[in-house]
Amino acid sequence: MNSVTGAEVNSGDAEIAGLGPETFSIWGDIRFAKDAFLQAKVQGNVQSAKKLVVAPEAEVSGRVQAGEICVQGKIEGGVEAAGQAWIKAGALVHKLCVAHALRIEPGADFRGELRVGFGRG
Amino acid sequence: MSAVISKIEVDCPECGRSQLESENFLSTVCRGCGAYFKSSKASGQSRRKVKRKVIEKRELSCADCGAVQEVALEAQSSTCLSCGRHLELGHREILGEHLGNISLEGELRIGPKGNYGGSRARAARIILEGRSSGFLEAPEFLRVSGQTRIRSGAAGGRLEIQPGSVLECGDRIDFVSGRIDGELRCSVAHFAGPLFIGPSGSLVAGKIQFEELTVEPGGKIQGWAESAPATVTPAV
Repeated sequence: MNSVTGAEVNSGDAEIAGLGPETFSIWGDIRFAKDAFLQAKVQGNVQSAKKLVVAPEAEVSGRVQAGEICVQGKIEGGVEAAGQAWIKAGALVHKLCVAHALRIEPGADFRGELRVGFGRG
Repeated sequence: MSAVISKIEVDCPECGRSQLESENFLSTVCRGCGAYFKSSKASGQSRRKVKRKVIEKRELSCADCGAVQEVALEAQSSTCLSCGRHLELGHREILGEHLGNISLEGELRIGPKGNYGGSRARAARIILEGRSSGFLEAPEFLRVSGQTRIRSGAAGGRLEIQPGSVLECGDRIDFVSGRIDGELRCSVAHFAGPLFIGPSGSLVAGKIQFEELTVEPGGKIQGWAESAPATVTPAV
């Protein structure tokens, strides 16, 4: 399995993608500076000021914070979006969802505290 | 004393034989050749055809068994052809205090000063503008308009909360779908299908369940929430 360990990965790249058939794994928090497409297993939190797409193969154990979030994979620690959040069919989000606007498709698995339109505080 | 029936002479169209018949006769048999023939009144243009009035109908589903049948638009009551339940089809309006249970297939309107004080009211469509102490059941829709309150909960097909309107519900609400453009506060909000919160809508509940959720920018929702589990296709 390909893996990166460390407390934090600052990525200027727009994409962290799987390498080959095995899933890319990261231990620690990661932060994106640009729009990003996350296709990896993350044991930690993910932050992005821009738009973040969590791919169907991606799994995040911690919280995901972004300007806009589109979730197709699994997030166990909840999501916080300054703008719109999409939780697509087949996606899993547990614990928390904070957003300015939200769309949860049929077939998505959401369970947790929901706070939309009240700000991120 | 019997009335004299005037007779007329008619000719058989087959053999030409004349015979006497009542002047109002419609058809007869020739006493000469046995041919059956109709009078000109029965077969000719002089007979005016009465055009039957078309009865407008509407579809109605039984609140008990769900069977769909057609009833006249103006009918006030009917009987379910499937389960035999008596169906009260009229509409009712509550403008003051009303006690006692209600069950009708038509529309129930609880006006702004109306207060439904019975334990259970069931109508195909309910328009709530006032208050209800009892449980409200609306298989088609419950439309909320104005400052309203339900103490015992509500269930039905579609929940609509109009812009600027408020519904405070002391118990669980259970609907197939919901569109909230006003404000809804309740303990448990369960929607088996889609829930839509419009730009001016707000839902605050202890527990929120849905199959699909859309919150437009400006809309608000707060509470512990759970989406319906994905449908499991049984293995073949």
